[in-house]
Amino acid sequence: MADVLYRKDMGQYSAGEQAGLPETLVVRLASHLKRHALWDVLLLLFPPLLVFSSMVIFLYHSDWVGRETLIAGGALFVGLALLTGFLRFRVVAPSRRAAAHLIDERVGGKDRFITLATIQASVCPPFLLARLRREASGLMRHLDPAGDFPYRIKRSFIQSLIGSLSVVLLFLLFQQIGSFFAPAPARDNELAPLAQKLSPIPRFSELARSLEMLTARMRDQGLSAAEKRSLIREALKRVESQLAAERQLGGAANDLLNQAAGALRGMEQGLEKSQGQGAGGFKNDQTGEGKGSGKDSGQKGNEKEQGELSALEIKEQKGGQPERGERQEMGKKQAEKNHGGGEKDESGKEKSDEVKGMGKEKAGGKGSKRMEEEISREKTAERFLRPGEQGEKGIKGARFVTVELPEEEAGGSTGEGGLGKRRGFRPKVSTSNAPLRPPDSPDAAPEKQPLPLEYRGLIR
Amino acid sequence: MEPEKYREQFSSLEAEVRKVIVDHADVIRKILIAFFSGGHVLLEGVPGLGKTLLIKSLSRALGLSFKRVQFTPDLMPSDITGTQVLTENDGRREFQFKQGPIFAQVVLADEINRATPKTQSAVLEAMEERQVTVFGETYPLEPPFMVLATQNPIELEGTYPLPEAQLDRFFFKLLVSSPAPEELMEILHRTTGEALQGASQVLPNNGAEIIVEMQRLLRQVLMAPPLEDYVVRLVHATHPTAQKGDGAVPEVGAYLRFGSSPRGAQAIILGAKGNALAEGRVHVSYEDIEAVIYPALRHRLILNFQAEAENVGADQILAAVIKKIPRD
Repeated sequence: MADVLYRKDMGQYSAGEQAGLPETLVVRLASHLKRHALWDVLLLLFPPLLVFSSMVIFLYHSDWVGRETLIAGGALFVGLALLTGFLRFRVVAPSRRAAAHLIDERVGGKDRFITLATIQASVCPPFLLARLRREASGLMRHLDPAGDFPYRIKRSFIQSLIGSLSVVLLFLLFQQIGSFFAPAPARDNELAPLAQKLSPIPRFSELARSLEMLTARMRDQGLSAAEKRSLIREALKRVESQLAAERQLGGAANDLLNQAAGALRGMEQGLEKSQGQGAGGFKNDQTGEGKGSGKDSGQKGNEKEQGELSALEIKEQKGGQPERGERQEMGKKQAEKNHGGGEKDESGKEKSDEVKGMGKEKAGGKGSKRMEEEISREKTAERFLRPGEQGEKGIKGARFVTVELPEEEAGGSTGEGGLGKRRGFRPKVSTSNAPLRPPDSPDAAPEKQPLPLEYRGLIR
Repeated sequence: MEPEKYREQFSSLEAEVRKVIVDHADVIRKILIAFFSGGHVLLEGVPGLGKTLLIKSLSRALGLSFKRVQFTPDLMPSDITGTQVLTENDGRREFQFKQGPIFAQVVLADEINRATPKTQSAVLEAMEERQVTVFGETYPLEPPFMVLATQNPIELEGTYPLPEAQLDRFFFKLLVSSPAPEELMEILHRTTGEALQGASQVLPNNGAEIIVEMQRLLRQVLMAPPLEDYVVRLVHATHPTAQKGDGAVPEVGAYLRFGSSPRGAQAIILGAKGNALAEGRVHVSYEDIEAVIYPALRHRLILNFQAEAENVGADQILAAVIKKIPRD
C-alpha cells in the first residue's frame, strides 16, 4: 500500500526532480540496506551449506550414502536453505520506514524523513508538505548512503561460522572414533568393477578373471587375514607385471591397471589394519594352533595324533579349509602333549603362525616374500617349501605329465615320484612321471599362461 | 496562516506572559498549546504559586475577554451560567437572560473542587459543547473559549473532587510546582518593588480571528502513521485489561482501575501538533508526543486503592508505560 501511494505521489515529478527528493534518498538507502541484508543472509547460510556439502560428498565417497540419497539430501538441504534465506531476508531486510528512521537518526532529522516516507501525501496540505520536503532536502547533503552505511559483517555470520566449524570438528571427531572402532572398509568393492572393465580387453581377460576370483575369495569367511593378504599380494604382483608390460607396449589401459593396483594395495592395508585391530581374538587362535603345530614340527607324539595332523595337512593341501574348531582342538591336544616344552615349543608356536598362512599359500601355489623368507628359515615340513623346491617328497608344486618313453629308458627309469618311491612302488607300464622344470628356470616348459591359483591344487 | 507566522505569534505570547510569571515556562507553553488546540486546562498547585496571575496575564496577552469565578460550596449553577431575570422595558415585563461569567472567552474557575457537583456539572456542558442551556434555551459561547480551572491538592476537607467524566473534559492537567530559590528571588523583586507591571496585549484587536486561524493550522500539522500508531499503543497500554503478552506493563495491572479514554489519545496528538508548531516544525516527532503524554493522560488514569495506599501517582505509571512501549 505504501509503495503504491509512494509511486502515485512520485508520479507528479520528473526523473530529475525525483532524484533530489528526500523520499528518493529514503528509497535508495532502503535498497542499499536490502543488499546488505542479502549479503548477511548469504553469509549466514554459506558456512553451513559448505559444511553440509563437504560432509555429504565425503559420505558419498566413503560409500556411506548412495547417489540417489546424495541428490535427494542435497536438494532438500538446498531447498531448506533457500526457504530459510528467504524468510530471514524478509525479517532483516529494512523497510522504507526503517531506512527513513535511520536517516533521521543520522542527520538529526527529527522524524522528517519518516514522515515523508510514510505519510499519504495526497491528503496533506501541500504547503506543509512542500515545507517539510524543503527542510529534509537541506539535511540530505549530510548523508551519503554508501559512505555512512558501509557493509559490516554481522555477528550472525560469526556465529554461523563458529557453529559450522564446530559441526565439522564434531564430524571429524566422530569419524575418527567411528573408524577406530569400525572394521576397515572393504576395498574389494572397487576391484570387482575394475575386473569387469578389464574383462572385455582380450589381453586382460585372464587378469580380470583372476581379479574376479580374488574378489570372490575375499568374501570367504573361512580364509584368514594372512591368507587373504598373500592372495592379494600375488594378484598385485600380477597386475604390476601386466602394468609394466602395458607401459612397454604403450597401451591405453594404464589407468585401469593403476586403479586395480591401488585397490589391491588398499585391500591389503585394510586387511593389515583389521588384523591389527582384532589382535586379541587372533592371538588366542594362534596360541591354540601354535601349540598344535609345535608338536608337528619337532615333538614326538603318539601315532593317533600324528595321523590327525596329517589328515589336516592333506585337507589343507587339497584346498579345503579345516574347521576352526577342529584346528583349535588339535592345537589344544598338542599343547597338552607338549606341556613344559621350552624353546622348542616356542619355535613351534612361531611355526604354527606360519602354518595358518601357508596352508592356503600352498593351495594357491605362490606365497608372499615375507612368507617365503620365513619358510626358508624353517625346513622342517614339506608343506613349508616354496613351489619348485626340492623336498623329501620331491619337487614342491611340481606338475606332472605322463610321457611315453622308449622301453629301455622306461626300464632304467627310477619312476621317481614322492609317494611311489617312498612306498617302493614302481609302475609296470612303460610310462614315467618326469618332473617338469620350475617355471622360472631357463629350460622350463613353454607355458604361455600362468595357471589360475585355484586350478593348481587340482592339477597336483 | 503560515507556520512561521504561527510561531512568531506563539513566541510573542509566551514571552509576554513570562514577563509577569517567573519560571513555569513549561506550564505557560502547555497552556498555550491547549488553548490553540481548543482544549481546557486544569492547573493543580498549592495556593500562592501564581496560577491566577498566569491566567490573567495570558488572557490579557491574547486580548480576549476574561472572567474569573471563585468556586465555593454555596455557588449555584446559575451563578456561572447566568439566569433569566424579570425586567421591565417600556412598561412591559419580560424575562431577559443575564449571562453568567461563563460567557467570556477565557474563564478562570478558581478552586473548582470547592463547588458542589451540581455546580461543577454546570460547567461541563459549556466546556464540551461550548454552549449554555438555561430554561430550555441554548446560548452559544463566543469562540475561542477556554476554561482554566485550578485546584488545591492539599486542602481536601470540604471539597468535592471532580468526577472522572469532568476530569476527562480537560485537555491537559498541569502541575504547578513551587519556585526554586532563584526564581523566588525574582518573584520578590518583581512583586515587592514598584507597581507590578502586567502583561500587555500581543494579538491585535481581531485576535479572535487570528487565534481561530492558528487553531486551524495546528490541526493540519503533518503526522506520520507510525507516530499515530505509537500514540495508540501508548493509550492502549494504560488499560489494565490489555495487559497481555510482551507489551504488558506490570504497574498498569497493579495500580490502575481504568486507563485513558480516546480523549486522551486525541489530546496527545493535538498537543504534539501544537508542540511541533511551537518548535517551528510542521510535522510531529516522537519527542513532541512524549512531551505531552504526562499532561494529556495523568488525569485520565483512574488509580485503584492499592495505588492510593502505596502513594503511587499517575506520572509514575505513565513513566513505566513510556519505558515499556517501543517507538517502532
